[in-house]
Amino acid sequence: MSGRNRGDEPLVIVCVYPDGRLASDWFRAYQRVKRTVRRGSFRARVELRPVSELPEWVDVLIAPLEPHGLADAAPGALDRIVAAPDALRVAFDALLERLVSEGRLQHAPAPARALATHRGFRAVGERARLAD
Amino acid sequence: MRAFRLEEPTTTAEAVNILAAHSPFARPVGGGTDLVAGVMRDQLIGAGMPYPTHLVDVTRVPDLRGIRVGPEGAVIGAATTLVEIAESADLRRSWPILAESAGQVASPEIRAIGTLGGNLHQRPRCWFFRSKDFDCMKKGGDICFAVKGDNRYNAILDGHLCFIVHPSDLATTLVALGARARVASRRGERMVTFDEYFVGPEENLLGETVLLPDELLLDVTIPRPAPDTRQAWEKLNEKGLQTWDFALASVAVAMTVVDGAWRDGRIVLGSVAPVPYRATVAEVALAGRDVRSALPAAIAAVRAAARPMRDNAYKLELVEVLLERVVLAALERGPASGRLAPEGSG
Repeated sequence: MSGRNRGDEPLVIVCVYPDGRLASDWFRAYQRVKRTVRRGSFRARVELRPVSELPEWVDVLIAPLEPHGLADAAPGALDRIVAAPDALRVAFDALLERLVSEGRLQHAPAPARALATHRGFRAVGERARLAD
Repeated sequence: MRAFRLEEPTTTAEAVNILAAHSPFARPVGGGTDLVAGVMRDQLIGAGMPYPTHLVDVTRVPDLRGIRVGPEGAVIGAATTLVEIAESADLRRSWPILAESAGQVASPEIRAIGTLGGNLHQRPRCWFFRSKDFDCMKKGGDICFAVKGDNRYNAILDGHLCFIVHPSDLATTLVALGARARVASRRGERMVTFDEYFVGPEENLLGETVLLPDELLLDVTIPRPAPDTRQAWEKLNEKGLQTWDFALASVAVAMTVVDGAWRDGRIVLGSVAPVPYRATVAEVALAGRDVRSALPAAIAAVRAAARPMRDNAYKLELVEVLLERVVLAALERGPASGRLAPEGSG
């Protein structure tokens, strides 16, 4: 799947785990990756998936050291990180830096300002909307 | 309910091969009271919880059924029904808490078709997990809704990201009795003690046991207790009955006592933690001491270990009351018979 052209689609980053077995430290590692991408406003989507349900398209695969077979999942992934949960942060930061420098990962444009139209179930007036 | 294929193997090898061939989308099924009538009917699915496409009926495998009692202990097949366990004279004699806990699972109808394996592997009752509208961590989602939601039935001990409680009464008594499980897969067989069989969310957010998707529980071995072992078990549920509903809290005790002093034993708490919770802090507080006089210290040790959530502090009070009641009942009840019954006596 390398060399694919997906146009403006965001980068797909998948943290993979063995079927039926998700350790909490790997879940936390996934949450850190997701948070890093969100805070950096990168054009990327981070998913947590069991190995039997990987999406068709994976740009970056992140796999734990154990079990070994997981590192070979998603053969089309352009980049992959195989790391222990506590070592993932450093490895992922380095990958992000490289992807940005190579121009493969961009920052998402700032979202248009959202207007509040309701507060709870109550529609707010024009002045309140502008104040928000 | 979605369509699935029902496989009906007649040998263990055949069952294991089917599980392996369709892993992780194949599931063993006994009575199906939870898997079929609960999990599948309610379509509880998520990224980490695929809907089964193949059910492997283990009740037609003769090797997985029945209770065999020998000098070393008892071996109970995974497909043995709960009523068979509850009514076994051998089990009632030497492992009364196991027979009692089996006899108080749900209703007579469920006990008639529910199996040992099914009871041990039933999924949690957390209502966020049981609702298909909540994509909770246990199904592969990002959130434990019990943290900020209504958590009156959730864990007060050892919660970790996910705060389910283990619903099996038999799991609690089997841990107290020092039982072990024999599981099989295409890779071979392995034995796992029940101290290690159940795993909390720290080890696996998606499941409650060490069983891999392609593994099958074959049977459970319970060692024969020392001749002077005293046992007691009790559960409390919301309706104040001893049956029908799931426990809010339960306590199982198997202990040996010399002149009123704790010599050895296990205290296990049920329905208060993601796994049957071995209260080693209470056991340490009792070790070598007069059981009656040291009981308050044991209860205080459990209290100190507990971390109730917003709505479930009452569970800690239940545990305190039950712990005292069950330990004293074990003392008063006297030792269960550790001897083999004469041939043909039951």
